[in-house]
Amino acid sequence: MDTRKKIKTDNNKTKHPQYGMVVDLDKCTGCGACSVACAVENNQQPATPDMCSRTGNTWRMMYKVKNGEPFPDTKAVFVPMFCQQCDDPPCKYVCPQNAVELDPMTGIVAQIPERCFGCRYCHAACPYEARYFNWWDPKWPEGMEKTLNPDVSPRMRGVVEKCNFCHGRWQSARAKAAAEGRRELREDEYKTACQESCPTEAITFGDLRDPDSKVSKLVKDPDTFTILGRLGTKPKVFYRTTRSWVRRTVDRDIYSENKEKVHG
Amino acid sequence: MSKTFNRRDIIKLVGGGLAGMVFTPIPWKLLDDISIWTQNWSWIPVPPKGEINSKYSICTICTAGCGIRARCVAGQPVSLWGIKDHPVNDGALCPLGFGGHHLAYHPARLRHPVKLVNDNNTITTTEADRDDIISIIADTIANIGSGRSNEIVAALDNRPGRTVSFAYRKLLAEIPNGMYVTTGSNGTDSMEGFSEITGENVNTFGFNIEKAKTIVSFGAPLMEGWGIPGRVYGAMKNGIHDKQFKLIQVEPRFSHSASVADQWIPVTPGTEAIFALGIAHVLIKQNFVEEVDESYKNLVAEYTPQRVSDITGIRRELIVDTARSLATNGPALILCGREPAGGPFSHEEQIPIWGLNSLLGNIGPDKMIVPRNPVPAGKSFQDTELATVTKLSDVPDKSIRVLIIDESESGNAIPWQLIERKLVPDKAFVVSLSPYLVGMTKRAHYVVPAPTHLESYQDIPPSFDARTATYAVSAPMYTPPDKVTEPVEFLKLIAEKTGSDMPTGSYTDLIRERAGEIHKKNRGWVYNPTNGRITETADILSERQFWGLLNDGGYWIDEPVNDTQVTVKSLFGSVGKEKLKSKLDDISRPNLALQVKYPVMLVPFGWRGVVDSGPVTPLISKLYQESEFRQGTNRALIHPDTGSLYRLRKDRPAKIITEAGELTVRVEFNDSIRPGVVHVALGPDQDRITGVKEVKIKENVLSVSAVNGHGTWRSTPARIQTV
Repeated sequence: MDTRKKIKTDNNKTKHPQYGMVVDLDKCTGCGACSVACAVENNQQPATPDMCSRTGNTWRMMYKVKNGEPFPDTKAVFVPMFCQQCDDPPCKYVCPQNAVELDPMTGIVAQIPERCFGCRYCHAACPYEARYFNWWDPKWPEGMEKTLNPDVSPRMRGVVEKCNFCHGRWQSARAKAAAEGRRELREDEYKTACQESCPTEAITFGDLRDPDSKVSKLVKDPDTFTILGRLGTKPKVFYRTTRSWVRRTVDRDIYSENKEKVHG
Repeated sequence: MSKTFNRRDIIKLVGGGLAGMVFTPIPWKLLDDISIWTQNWSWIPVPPKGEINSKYSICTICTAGCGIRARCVAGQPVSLWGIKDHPVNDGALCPLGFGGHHLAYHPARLRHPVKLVNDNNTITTTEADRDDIISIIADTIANIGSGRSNEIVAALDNRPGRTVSFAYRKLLAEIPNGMYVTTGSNGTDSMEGFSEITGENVNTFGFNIEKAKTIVSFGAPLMEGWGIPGRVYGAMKNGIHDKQFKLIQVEPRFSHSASVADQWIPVTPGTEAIFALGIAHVLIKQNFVEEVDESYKNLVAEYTPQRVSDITGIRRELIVDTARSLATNGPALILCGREPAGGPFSHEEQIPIWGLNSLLGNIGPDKMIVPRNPVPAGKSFQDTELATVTKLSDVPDKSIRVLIIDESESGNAIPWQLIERKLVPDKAFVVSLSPYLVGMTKRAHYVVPAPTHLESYQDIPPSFDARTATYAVSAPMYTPPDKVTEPVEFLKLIAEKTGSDMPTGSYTDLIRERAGEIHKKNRGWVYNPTNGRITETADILSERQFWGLLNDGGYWIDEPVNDTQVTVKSLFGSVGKEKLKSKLDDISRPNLALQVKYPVMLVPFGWRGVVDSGPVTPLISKLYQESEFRQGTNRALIHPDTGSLYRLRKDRPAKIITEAGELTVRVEFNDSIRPGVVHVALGPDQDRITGVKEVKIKENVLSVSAVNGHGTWRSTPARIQTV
């Protein structure tokens, strides 16, 4: 199902924004800066020595997806995978605690750790495997806790967490706009950490409802698509590529990769 | 009628109550509360509070010198970001740079001098006295001076060109048999072939990447960390969709650079130079080149596309097409790279690769490879004797008695055996000035920890690829621990003890003095990150104002050099035609006897910044341990056909055997790998990520790689078998 048809882009500025993102896979170099910048921004703890890809906590995972051809005809693309901020999120429906909320003000799928009691139903329901369970108390090497971002609380052990489009940045931007007597944010006022960190500007983020925003224009580009869009979860994260094999392969590969690496 | 309350009623009441309670919030509330009570403990950190502001500085983790903006809470950096529109990195920062503010708190951090004892590769430390270490060094220097010994006192500097580098050279010129040694791992070792053909100093040349429409990279890890990463990313950012920019990666492994490149040319390991000659053959034969030396023409004539195809394993048509696209989709730049873990090509291999730039007329002002001015030294280091710069490969074996290892890393790997073979056996005394007990420092006898990233003033000379001279200063954001010693102060203490002459000012004074010399030149511009303005140096009236700008993260950029003509002396370099031909013949003819004994080729690989000796941010675990996006240490990538040939199993250990030793690796099948080749990753050890309780020296792929006389270890004949 094509989410582009579902997200209305009208001129009604009084409607709340619906934030979304387009990742240009042709520009992504797989440098990993977004993963680390995301971890710094959102106070994700570093791995303990016994952690692995099944038990780690990386809100923004990087995958290398290949065209399926062996040496020497191999081609590859780097695909960052994180919460796709679905408009119809399966994780929300399965949560017995109402710890998952689709924020009508932003369209962001929020995770409320204080409500979460760690049943991990949402974890199982997410087709993108973009949710992570905190198996251990969040710990930083001694002294390093001084480097934590003051705008984001570290989550406790036993809860699920995930990308929230750097919600703390949205709050700060709104507070700043309110102080200046504005209700609406300008396009460049609210940027996610991954967007800010991307050295090739492969990430475009903004209001999908604003027809003038860069992101809403990119969403209409014929080279833009969603991953696992056929499931009908209406993701608000889009990917873009001019390479046809990438579109053909990425769904299959991400899905099989996730099946192999069930987190938790 | 009276009702008796019997046992059955009690059971019914309790049972009914319990059943009824399920339909009340009580058990769920209890469950929730219990989970919350057991989840929240006092040791879960609370983020800092205080006034929020920004500070600007320069990243010193590697040699690129990227501009950074630190978001600070009560003066404490809580995140680092690349500065948008910065002339070096234009907002880009690598994953290690993003975690640079963690390094001051790294668990492997040393806070006082230590003595190391190596017991069967397990390292134990005891606190040491800095003065005792200086006395040992001074006594050894005195003994060498009095005994007419040939033994050497050396300092190993992986980042030449800094003010501290001049201080090393000054001290070493003062003491008997002093030698200032560099490895070239900052990237200059991959430009030695350029130096061979032009006779020029590689430190006065850079690349015009932004101008190139086509880049042919011979193993240059453009996406894994090469030169100033922001420049390459900039080319990607600006050219990818309008197809203005084409990247061709010539490399045996399907690396990140090869994945991102428009074209990957997977040559057989070690045959890159032959591929370059094949390109030269086509360029000359199809008259894309105007003038070529006859004897070079004769050499190149032997490397027909068909012959090159047979040697490199690349289709003949692809060789011809690559040469044509170089000639027709110009300007084209040919880069000769250094694999972060696998090291540089040998001189002889580099010569034909750099020679392509000469054939394309790429060398000279406003061309692809441009001359640049040197950055002047501070006044204290002008008109005084300085030790000459000696390459590690030129140091005689078993000659170094005292080795001082500088604390700054280049980001690229240097195998310890390359250094070890230069030490006097059993008598050598090694002192590391590293702030951390990781990597090469574990091999030292003593460590005198230096300040780390953002703890003291550091100056940043231009990266080896910079197209003009540049200069910047990284101002401190933290206070270093009390017993940490600035390397310049350490050198001054040695000088005091040995009666040598050294400048008297502090390290900050010496850096400021150098900034003053640059200001006096009255050339170039200064970029000010606080307002994004670029000011002509001539308009900055005082030295004090210039220093103030540098202190605020300013970046000085020199004018391009337009009046220097560069002539290519010989396309054979100083090696000469016969020796070059003989080396190329060796590459062309496989050693069948060796192939019987060692049928596979071992090729190390890794990422800049994680393959060297320094610590990394613990959050790098997001890319290695927690996602396996990058292969960690001793992970072997093998084609499934090679795996089945040697009965290897996925995710199981296997043993690699070379002339240098044995290494246990973990097998990962990957059908993008050339059959018959084993690529083994050099990643960050656990002690470099989060620190470990027991410090050990561990074997890695460099331990079993064959390090040849020219300091290269790119590929090693090997055997592989199951454990």
